[in-house]
Amino acid sequence: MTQYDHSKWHGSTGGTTWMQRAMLKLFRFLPLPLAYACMAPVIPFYMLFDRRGYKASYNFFRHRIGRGPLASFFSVYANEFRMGQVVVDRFALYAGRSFDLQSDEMPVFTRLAEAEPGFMQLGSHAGNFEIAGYLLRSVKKMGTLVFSGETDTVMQQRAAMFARMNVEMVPVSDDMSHLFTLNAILSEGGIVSMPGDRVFGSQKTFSCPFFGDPAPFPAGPFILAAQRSVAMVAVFVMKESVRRYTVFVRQIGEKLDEALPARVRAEAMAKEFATCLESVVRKYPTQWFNFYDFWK
Amino acid sequence: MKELIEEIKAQIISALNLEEMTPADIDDNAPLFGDEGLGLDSIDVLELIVLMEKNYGIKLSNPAEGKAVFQSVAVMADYVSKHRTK
Repeated sequence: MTQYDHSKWHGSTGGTTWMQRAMLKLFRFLPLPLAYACMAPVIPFYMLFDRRGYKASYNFFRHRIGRGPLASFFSVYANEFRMGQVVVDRFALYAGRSFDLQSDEMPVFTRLAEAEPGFMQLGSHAGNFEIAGYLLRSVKKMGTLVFSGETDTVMQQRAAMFARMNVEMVPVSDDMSHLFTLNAILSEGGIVSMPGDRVFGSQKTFSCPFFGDPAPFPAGPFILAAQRSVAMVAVFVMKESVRRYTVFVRQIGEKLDEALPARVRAEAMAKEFATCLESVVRKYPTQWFNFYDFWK
Repeated sequence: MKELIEEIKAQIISALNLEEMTPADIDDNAPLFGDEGLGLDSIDVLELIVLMEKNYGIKLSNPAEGKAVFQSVAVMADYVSKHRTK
């Protein structure tokens, strides 16, 4: 049986190219509740046939959240359903639909966006990070790291959407050219956006306490921020209702002593990010979308 | 040049936290990446990019150029000697 871990899990959007194109056309006029309702009978098939995803999700609710066996079973359904809603919302966004995003923590982002130095914005596979771009707009140029294994449809739609928002997609590449691009954006006072919970490229990780056990978090984002001495914010965009999302913005590593070695600061930032992520996921457990053994 | 090579080796050891190594353990011409030589990876490249900028005022934004520069410590030292601004 294939074992999946951080490095092998890419989390690209499901569906073939023609399916994704059909979804884009459909979501220009299809009411979102109707789209969600169409998904409801499909979810049990995912639970039945995607055993790896089912097991990971069940174990998460059973052992990390502490729910009973039956409650965990139904939580897996809710988890898969939420995932489907988030994917639908992404395509609705690409198709030109808008969502109501609210946050009490915008001043954290605004303060950094208005200052001269660049900074880093870390997302996660919890909630709907991609939708954050609509709220967190800035005059600064933003480079967002994207997994290059997505289909052309997803990449084209992202590119079209991001072009309107002064956002440059930076695909992860084998020749490491993304590192030079991200570094250049930061040094020119821009924003670098990437996930903080997914190991890709380098296998270097920091082991951080997460839901009671150590879990590997990618070292790269934190080392980049610490080496360049730039600020970092964690952004979590969590679904509340059909059209409404709440955005949480937390500054990471703000109280760290700059005199400490970069690696020490990077590890402390990774641990702080893991703590923030856990607090948000505890509040929205069905929006945890890492469908593999995250602690492996 | 020998002095600059030793300086860069010390900086690499410090930046990458290679506590178990000394400058003498790093061959001037050994490849920095891959299974031979130091075996550095993409995160280490990131740190070397920042090291070059902070310590020598060299901004590497072209991946092809960066890859060529980070071939070995000797190549790095040669590039630094020609392009450093501080």
